[in-house]
Amino acid sequence: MDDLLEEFIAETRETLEILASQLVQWERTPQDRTLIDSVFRFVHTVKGSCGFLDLPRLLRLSHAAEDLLSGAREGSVSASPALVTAVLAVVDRISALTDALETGRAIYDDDEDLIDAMLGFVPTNGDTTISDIEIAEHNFGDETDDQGVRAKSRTVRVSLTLLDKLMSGVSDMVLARNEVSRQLRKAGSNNELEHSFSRLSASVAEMRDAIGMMRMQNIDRLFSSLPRMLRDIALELDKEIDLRIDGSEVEVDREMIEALRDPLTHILRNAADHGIEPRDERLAMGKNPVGQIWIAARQSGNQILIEIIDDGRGINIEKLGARAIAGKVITGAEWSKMSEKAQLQTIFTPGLTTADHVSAISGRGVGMDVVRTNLRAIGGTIELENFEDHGLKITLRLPLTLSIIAGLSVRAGDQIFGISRSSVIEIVSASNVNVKIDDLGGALIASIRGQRYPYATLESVLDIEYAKKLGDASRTLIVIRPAVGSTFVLDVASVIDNEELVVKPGAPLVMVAGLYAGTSLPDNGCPMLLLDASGLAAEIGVAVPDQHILRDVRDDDPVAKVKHPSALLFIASDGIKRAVRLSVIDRMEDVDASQIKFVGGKMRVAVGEALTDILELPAIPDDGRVKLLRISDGEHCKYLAVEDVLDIFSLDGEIVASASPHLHEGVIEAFGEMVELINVFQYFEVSSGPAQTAGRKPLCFVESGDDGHWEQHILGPLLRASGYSVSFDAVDEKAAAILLMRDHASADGAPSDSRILHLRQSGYAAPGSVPSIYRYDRVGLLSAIESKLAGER
Amino acid sequence: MGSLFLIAHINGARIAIDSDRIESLVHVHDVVPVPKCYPSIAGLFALRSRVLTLIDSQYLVTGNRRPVEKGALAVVAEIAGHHFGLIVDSVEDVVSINESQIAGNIAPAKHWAHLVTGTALVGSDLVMIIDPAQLINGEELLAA
Repeated sequence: MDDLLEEFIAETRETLEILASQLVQWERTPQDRTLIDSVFRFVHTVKGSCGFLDLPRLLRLSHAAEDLLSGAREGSVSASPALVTAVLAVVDRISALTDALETGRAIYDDDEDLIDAMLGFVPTNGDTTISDIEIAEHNFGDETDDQGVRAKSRTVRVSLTLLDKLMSGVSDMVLARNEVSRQLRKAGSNNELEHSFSRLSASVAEMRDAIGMMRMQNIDRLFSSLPRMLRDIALELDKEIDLRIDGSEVEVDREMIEALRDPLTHILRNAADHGIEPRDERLAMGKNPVGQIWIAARQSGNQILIEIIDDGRGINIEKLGARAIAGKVITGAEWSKMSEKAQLQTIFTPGLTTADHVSAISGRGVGMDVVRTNLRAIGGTIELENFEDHGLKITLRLPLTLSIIAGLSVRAGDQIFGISRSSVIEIVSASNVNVKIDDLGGALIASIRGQRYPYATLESVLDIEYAKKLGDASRTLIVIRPAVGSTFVLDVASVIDNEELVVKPGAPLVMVAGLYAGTSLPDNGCPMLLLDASGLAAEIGVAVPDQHILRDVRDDDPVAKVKHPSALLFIASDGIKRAVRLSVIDRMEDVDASQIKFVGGKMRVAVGEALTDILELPAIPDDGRVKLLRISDGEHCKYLAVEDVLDIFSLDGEIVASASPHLHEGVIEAFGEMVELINVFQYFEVSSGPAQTAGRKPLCFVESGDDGHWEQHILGPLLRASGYSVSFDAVDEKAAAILLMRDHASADGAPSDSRILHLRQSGYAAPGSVPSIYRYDRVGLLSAIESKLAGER
Repeated sequence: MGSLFLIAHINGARIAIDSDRIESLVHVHDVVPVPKCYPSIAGLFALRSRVLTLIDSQYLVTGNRRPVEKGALAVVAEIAGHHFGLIVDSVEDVVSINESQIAGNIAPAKHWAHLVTGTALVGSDLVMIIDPAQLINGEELLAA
């Protein structure tokens, strides 16, 4: 609606501008018939648009002016200067109101005065005086003298040829710029030059974007009128039809929208009239009594795809054949030899229809051939997919003529190809742990995180040689969702760059291969073929899911699925499959065995500056690499050694309790096997040491007697390693949180201080002695210290 | 007053192409092959920020593809809105050929027939006149 209003404003203003000079002339020669006619046409147009747009004020004004002028044209009213003045006042008011529509400013409503002034000239009440008109004029002048009312945005109409010229000019400019950039690189660097060049570059890019926008328009302009049209048809036919429109946001060339209007209308009428069955018939067939029509627009490379799908009865091939033979379009023998696809094509023969009766809406046999001709005129094609008794899918493919796409350049063999980024969902390395490629009797299937897609290498699709040099370098998988066909995985030697590509239409001889969307000339000056995702899909043999013609293609989008927590399935270093929550894994690293050392009682790896613990690695392999999972609790990280990483799966099943919950969170099912979900807590639990470094270290005073060797060299380091600071100096005794004392022969004389922990020499506590801990009971000692600290706070 | 024709050689045979149909004559260096396409397409090449399709003219005549040599000579022509390069062995001269010199009734060898629109006497030798558009259209027919 806003679009329509904007157009109305633009159009009215434009006509007014043209009219301006004529109005001046008209004031001088009121009797001039051609001038009266132009003004009449103007008010008539305004009246028509206003009725449609529901603008009552403009409607009343223009209606009155139209009445008067039609009288003038017929001669029943004589055109006098006074009449001209009255009409001009109305024309000016229309102009003011139009501006007000845009600026949102209110205009004082004395329209009735203007109208009355004007209608005074109509013979029935011929008593108007000039003064009335003057008043009207006066009022009018008061309100719109203000220049501020003038438009915020003004539009200019430019011919499409000029736009085309501008656009191809800019595209050439982009290419020329690329060439200059190449030359610059060759010539060596010159800062100043590069700086000015980058400025030029930026402004060219900006200009290109702006010009690209000029020609484009939302396809919604085309679609917005369809629901109403279908409603009328459905009423007339007494059918219930639901229309669903997707992809209204797709941008299409302005010209294309106009050219598409007729074919699309035609197809829709056909679908409603012939495709969708009457309610009873649908019920009898077990279909939803309400007919479904789905229109979807999508952009794919340099093509726009519009699909019109209905769930009606489809095309009855037999009937079509009978008609074709009866109409002498084809002989019975020829018909029987034709493939079903070719048979379907006869629907495009002029004068052929399968409709049993001719209705006002369609069925006169001037249908599909006209549609196809119209589409061909704009360089489009039409494809039919017939599902007899279930529906018909019509795909219109339209060129974008000349456009710039965001593309990926990929390497296959010795060549570089481009592909539109819009169809690329994901790029993964072929060596990624989540990728698995299976050969199902020749058909290759790639599984990426459990999602399965048809798979092919670009080299095999294009029948070209694999590059020799890049033998073992990791290849790259691109998950592509084409406009037609289902998602597939394309394996390329490498993805080179992400760049803006100017799509140049390829020669028909090249395009006919069906694999290419066009050509482009990237910065390196070497022509590049742009791959057509749908063409590739067809080549790989990706079947269109025919059972679900009304199913939203986006349903299979893995991203759209509800997220369950995921877990990684791996083979642990002891050869048993286990799983770990994905959320605790930072990343996977392959570490050279030489970086791993068994030091300080633990396996550690030197990564960068730091030494990090490796868990579950029984022995350092002699050579080669060790796969490590870097797990983290948010603060600390550790490496978990694994034999291999298998896959990622979602934890949507039940987690069965484990017998040893400190080791395993539980047991879960992964790919049909029961595996243990490891409890990461255990790994961080044992190493709480460094965690304490963050805070203030509690001070332990150790009383070292005559023989302080044990305290200083054995107990001290243990305490320090456990995160305490240790002092042997009596000065610190007061400040210390814990006092450790080795039991002397007699316990009776020992000072009583709640901070004291007694250590005893022997494993047994002597009867009657103070509570003490065996000095080599490390766990007991540490936990006693802890409980003392905890009790204190 | 006749029009000017470029005399060139394709597969060793002398041919003439109306100079009005010719945009330029270039040496082709880097050719990007087009996989899975008609064998007559030698590839794509860039010419002044445009992408042109290179036609292996010899294939059209002999049915054998010829590898494109670096610096091969190509006649650039615009056909149906697209720019093509036609590989030629060599170019000889530009001559004026009158209507009266063109004879339609001399049939060339069979494998040339789909390309040749007429035959003309230039100097003392006959040349086949080739319409570049035929190189493209003829191809489509062959493929159909």
